[in-house]
Amino acid sequence: MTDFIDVLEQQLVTAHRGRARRAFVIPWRTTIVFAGAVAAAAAVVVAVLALSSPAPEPAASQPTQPPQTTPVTPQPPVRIAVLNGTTVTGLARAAADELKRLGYPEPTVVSNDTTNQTRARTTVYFEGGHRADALGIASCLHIGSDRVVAMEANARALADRAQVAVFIGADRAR
Amino acid sequence: MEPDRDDDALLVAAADDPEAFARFYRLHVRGVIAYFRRRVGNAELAADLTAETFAAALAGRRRFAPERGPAAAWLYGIARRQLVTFHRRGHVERRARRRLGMARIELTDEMLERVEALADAELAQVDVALAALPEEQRAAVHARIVEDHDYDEIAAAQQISEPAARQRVSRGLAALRARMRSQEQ
Repeated sequence: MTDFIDVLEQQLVTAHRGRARRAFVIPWRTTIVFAGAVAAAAAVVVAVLALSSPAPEPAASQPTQPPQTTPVTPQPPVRIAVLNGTTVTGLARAAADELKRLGYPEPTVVSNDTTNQTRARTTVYFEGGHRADALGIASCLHIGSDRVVAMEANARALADRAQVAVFIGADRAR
Repeated sequence: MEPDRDDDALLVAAADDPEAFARFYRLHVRGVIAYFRRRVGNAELAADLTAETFAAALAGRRRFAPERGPAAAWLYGIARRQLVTFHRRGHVERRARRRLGMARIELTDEMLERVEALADAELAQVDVALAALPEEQRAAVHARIVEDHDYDEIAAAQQISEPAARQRVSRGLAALRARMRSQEQ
């Protein structure tokens, strides 16, 4: 049964992760834009100096101060595995690509679940301390929180030390 | 409820840790639903107000300062403001959810029934646990959480210093949590 409390938790965790990700990305974007602007300004100054001074003295090149950015310590990225538990090819790759598009790292495992190719429903397994990661990933892949469960031995063996493992079922082939 | 980490520490950790925020949320979501359910008498509105309250808490989590009062009081302060805004404007605020990109949750009848049942159960538990607190703590918690009085007002009413009022609320909330956990076990 879909529960309001679980749905809201998923939304909040996803929003929290999204903000953390943006906080990590924006300073670098800002840095690139700022560095580009500084480089352009420096090029203009050099060009003006070169044109205005007949003596080909080398322009005193002042070292450009690197842009000041606030250091950000991102959370260590979660290790993800995506395994295809169906005979429909490409489902694991598609889910992995979707997660990457949303800012998650490349899954460490993207392959077939060789032990079970007849999974009906997609399940997200998580190691201890990674329930929120699993809920966020499930939310991104439109998987209900009722399919987010603690890691089992079989899943762990296939997931190769991943902290969150998505086992794709036939419900994602539709 | 998850008694393994202190409530205030969880909210401080939640500044950068989504898992900590999720745990803080799970500790309080039932209580917040019940808080709204009691005041607006409608499960759907209570759920909507709860969603906006936690979105506002998530957006403003870095503003929480443990030295100014317990995390629960901070959270219920946000809930109280949501309620005031709702009564003033006639609709539930959506600003925090919009800012965070959170869609409004459309509740099915089944989900509504569950919210209703959960709020009723929580209210019964809170009433029992609150009634069991020592009178001074009960009055302080009631004044702060239910009536949203400031600490200086509580201090004046109870003829104690402001730090003592904070301590009374804090201890009352801790005792309330402990009693509710023991009721669940």
